[in-house]
Amino acid sequence: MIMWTAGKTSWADSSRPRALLALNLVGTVLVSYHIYVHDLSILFPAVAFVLEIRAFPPTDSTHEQGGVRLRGHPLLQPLYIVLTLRYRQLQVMAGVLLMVFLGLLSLVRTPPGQTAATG
Amino acid sequence: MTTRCRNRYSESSRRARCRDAARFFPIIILLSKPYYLFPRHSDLAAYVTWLVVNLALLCLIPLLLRRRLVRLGKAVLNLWLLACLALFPIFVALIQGQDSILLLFLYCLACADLERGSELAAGTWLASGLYKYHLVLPFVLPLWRRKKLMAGFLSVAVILGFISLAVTGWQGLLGYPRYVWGTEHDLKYVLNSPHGNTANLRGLIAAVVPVSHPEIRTGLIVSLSAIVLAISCWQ
Repeated sequence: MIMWTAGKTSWADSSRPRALLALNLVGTVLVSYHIYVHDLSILFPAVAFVLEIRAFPPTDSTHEQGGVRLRGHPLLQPLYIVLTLRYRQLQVMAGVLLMVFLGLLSLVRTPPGQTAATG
Repeated sequence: MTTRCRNRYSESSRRARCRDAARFFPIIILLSKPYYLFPRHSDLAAYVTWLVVNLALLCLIPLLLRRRLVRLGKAVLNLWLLACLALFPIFVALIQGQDSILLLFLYCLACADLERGSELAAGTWLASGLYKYHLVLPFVLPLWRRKKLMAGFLSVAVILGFISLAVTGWQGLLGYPRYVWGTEHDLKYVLNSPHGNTANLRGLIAAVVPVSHPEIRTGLIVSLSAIVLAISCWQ
């Protein structure tokens, strides 16, 4: 979901600082020497920032459209649940986070005004 | 860690364990102090109280974030709250009574202050999350060029360092690195096992590289982590 949103729309003026914060948060999770599933909750602002920056064109401004974006966010949940409860292989999530990190890096490095093909 | 203490042990051993835990995560003892105010240290009352605190923090998080987000901010508050609760790690943190939601709240305060340009305040909020230093230091490191943020961070970090020293004494403080090193090499410390439950580079590499090649494993973890940190610092 994050990767999909990361490759979706054009650069907004205020997006670079947010993308940097999201990049920092994902990087923090990746290099932390110890992390459990509940510690991944610090990724919530990163998810919100990525959705805000890249999900939908800036012209979208109705309440309904804002609601649709947030309804899409829980789509991440099956991955957490399956990896944690069913297979106990949460480290696979690190691979996903690594790709998100690279997507955000591409987003940060794209000059303003250009559309980055990330994800 | 203190929650785990409450759940697993009898009263006497639980107290000993909590003292033991406090020795290693000294700042966190300040959070667990109110537990002893409950009559006969009722686990249920403590859990419900912490749950209420966590839920209150969770309700404040959307207020902090949506104010700054032009498009997502237009979504109704109820939907934001549902989105918070629907994130599986947050749900697990609530159920288990973990302290991760407090850290998330501090991160949201810091992000809001950073966007507002109040770097000093952001630094103080980030330093307040140092009870989980491994989830804060890699975030702060790339921001080292922001002098006000670092000033706020270091001032609160020093204060918390003195509080930790007062709680544990020099012996506990100096013994902490040895304890962390010990958890890496002793299987009884499941908490630090990378097998299956850690969604970081360490867990990923541990799953890919065989146990028989510890030097490759360590080398990959160190080099990949250094690359990720360097990239973050460079931006």
